Amino acid sequence: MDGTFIWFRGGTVTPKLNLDPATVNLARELARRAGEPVTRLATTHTTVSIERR
Amino acid sequence: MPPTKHMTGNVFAGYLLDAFFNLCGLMTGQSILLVGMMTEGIHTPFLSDRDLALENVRYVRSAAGRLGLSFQPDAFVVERAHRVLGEAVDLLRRIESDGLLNAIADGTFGVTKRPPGGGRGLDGVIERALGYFNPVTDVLGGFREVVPPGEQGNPVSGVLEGDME
Repeated sequence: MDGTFIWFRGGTVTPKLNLDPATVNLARELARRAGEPVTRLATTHTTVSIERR
Repeated sequence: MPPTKHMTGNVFAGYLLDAFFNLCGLMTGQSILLVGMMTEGIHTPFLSDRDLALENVRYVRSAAGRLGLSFQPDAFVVERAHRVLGEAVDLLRRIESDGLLNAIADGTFGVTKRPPGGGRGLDGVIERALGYFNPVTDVLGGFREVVPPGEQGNPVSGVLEGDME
């Protein structure tokens, strides 16, 4: 996401919003870190509905 | 209007297709718009069909008629995108330090509040025993182990995989 073109569903588009790629990556990294404890909870637990299927 | 051959008798698909054509015509500023009707090619459109076709144009025009203008440089959408991204980073910073479950408990997302240690169905959640094995989860591509941070190519993919139940 540093040039004029970004990959998008098999095609290329020209970014028109001029968002800072570093800020976008920061947001993604923060989201990943915020979700990490929940992911850990999900991978160390199971539920009655999962085991019933 | 789209060629009449696309009017197959599925009036819902026809109405949708007409809306796309109306959008193209309005976004490119056509001075004349031949209005498509969902029953053309099937029978001579009723007066009520014509009324619905005009309603289609009016709706598309008011909802998205000036969509093209939104993507010019320094347009409202650009400013809005920067503001939303900035606010998203601020919110994510807060959630990351407070914890996602606490953020949900505080009602950060909409008005839905759920306590971290409560909620419907909680009594059905059990800690996995040592040597837990569920072949279905494996086949469906779910995870059995926690992926260590930094070992994922795409930072989003881990979050998306978490949705696969």
